[in-house]
Amino acid sequence: MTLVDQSYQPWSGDFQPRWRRVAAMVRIGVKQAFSGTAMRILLFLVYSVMTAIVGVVFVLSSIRTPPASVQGNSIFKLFLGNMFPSGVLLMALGAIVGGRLISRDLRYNAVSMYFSKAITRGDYLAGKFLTLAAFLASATFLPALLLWASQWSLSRADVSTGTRFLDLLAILGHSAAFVAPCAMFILALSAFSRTAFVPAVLWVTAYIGSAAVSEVLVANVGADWCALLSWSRHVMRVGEACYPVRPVKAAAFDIEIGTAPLSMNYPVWVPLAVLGTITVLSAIAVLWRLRKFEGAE
Amino acid sequence: MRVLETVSLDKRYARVHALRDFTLALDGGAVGLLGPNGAGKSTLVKILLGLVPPTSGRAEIFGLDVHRFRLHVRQQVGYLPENESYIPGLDAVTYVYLAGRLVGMPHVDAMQRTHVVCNYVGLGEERYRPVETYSTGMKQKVKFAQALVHHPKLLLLDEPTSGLDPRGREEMLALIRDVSHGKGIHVILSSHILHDVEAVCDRVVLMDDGALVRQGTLAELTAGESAGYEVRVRGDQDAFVRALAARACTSRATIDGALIIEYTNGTVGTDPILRAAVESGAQIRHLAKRRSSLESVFQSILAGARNGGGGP
Repeated sequence: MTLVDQSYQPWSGDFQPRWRRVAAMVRIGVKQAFSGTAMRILLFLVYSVMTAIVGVVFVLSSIRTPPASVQGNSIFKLFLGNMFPSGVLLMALGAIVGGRLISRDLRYNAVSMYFSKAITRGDYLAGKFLTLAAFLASATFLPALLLWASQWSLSRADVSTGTRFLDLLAILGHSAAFVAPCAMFILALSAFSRTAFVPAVLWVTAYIGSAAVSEVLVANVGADWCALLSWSRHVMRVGEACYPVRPVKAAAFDIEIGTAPLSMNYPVWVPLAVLGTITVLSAIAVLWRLRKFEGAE
Repeated sequence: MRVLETVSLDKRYARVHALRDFTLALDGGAVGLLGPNGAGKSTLVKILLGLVPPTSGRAEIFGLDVHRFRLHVRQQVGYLPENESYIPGLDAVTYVYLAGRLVGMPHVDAMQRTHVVCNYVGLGEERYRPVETYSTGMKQKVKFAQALVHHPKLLLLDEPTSGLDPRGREEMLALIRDVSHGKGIHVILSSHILHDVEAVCDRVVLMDDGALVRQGTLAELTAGESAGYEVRVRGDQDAFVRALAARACTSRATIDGALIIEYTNGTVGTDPILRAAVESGAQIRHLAKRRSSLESVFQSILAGARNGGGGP
């Protein structure tokens, strides 16, 4: 009797629903994002820095009277992008991994394989978006989740369980405000190039350039609209709205205590509308580009 | 149920009229889609995969409209693209497995089938190497494996031997032959290489300038074509040609000095050639009946179509 038969036999089975196909795409995409020696070294460095940030913030929050900026839910706001190093690291991760996601498929004609299978352009975009979003979330939501769990288990603050879970939702919302527009915007850049380098450089330029221009204008012009030019300020403003203000005790080394100024003097729907518009327009651009590629003659 | 049916299919791009009133019905087997570059073969394949909508007309595969039910159609169809197609960094196993999952195969089935088709196409242990390190022939096998992973009912192969060396070409043709004649999978082979189509296909569809020129079995297409004889003579070749002309024979010289002789009055046999040789004093050094090849049929049909005399 044959124990293993790998000769050609017809296959007949049931096909799985579309979301399972997208999930398979995401799984392989995320696995590939972590592959390669150079990428692993880079990721190790990035996560080392992230871990160090988590550690420092956590130690500060564990002392008897911590600085106001890390007390209560402020710790998450500080960690998730409202602190310059984490924003830059996330920007770098997005550039490295996201820049190649679609451009590589165009360059090596892998889209021919994708679109000859039972997925739509929307499924393809969803797969790429979730791949990048999952990867970025591993550097935003995941460490923040660890920070949240650590704070709950070790903090001496008198905070109810309900409030703790509200913090978790706030972390999720704040992470999404960074990850979703960033991932879709990078994919749009990636869809218009056949090299990974170009979209990566364009994304870094857009992120840092918008912040730099905005800061210069805020310092010199001083008008409220100047803050609207900065990508990072939009994310920070959403973050400020995610976490309800809680009373904090002043630490000895707090220079002043009180309500911190907002990242921009606009209601939260303004940055949400801006980031949402960027996300939607980027998605439309990717779908248009893919359609054009498919119909090319 | 027909494997493929198109009715008055028309496709216009901004500057190109790629398909013109293309009506075709195929019952299956191995079918060659033959035509020169720009004949509209790739456009037809893209329409069949639901990648581009036709300007007018309709196309069905296994009774399903290819535009309305494109995802269902793609689950019945495997496609081998003409150009290189791979994802750098992925080995063949992961690439073929991904192809299977994207069709909708469950995880375990996709992985088992991946190894079955990798064995079948002859990838061996090389399957664990990144695809970008493969030779052209191996990349072609990977493309074939990803098209075959879900055991489609129909395989659409776009120039499958493109860029292959003679050995790789024969291996690929042997695979296609086995799939179409031994595995019960219908094959549509789009190619401009006549030898490939002749070697694999039972039926041929000739296309030119976006239109269907003629279709039929190889025997049907080559029947009635004047095959003639190939002759090499020593001596006065001009006198030999004049003697042939007097016996209602046409002749033309090939590059290597042979004469291709055809009868214009329906005569069969070699008698007129031998008599012409005796009369002209030429010695016949070589005399062979020419096989009516698809190439000669293709050339004459296309020439007829372009002069307005051909048609399906």
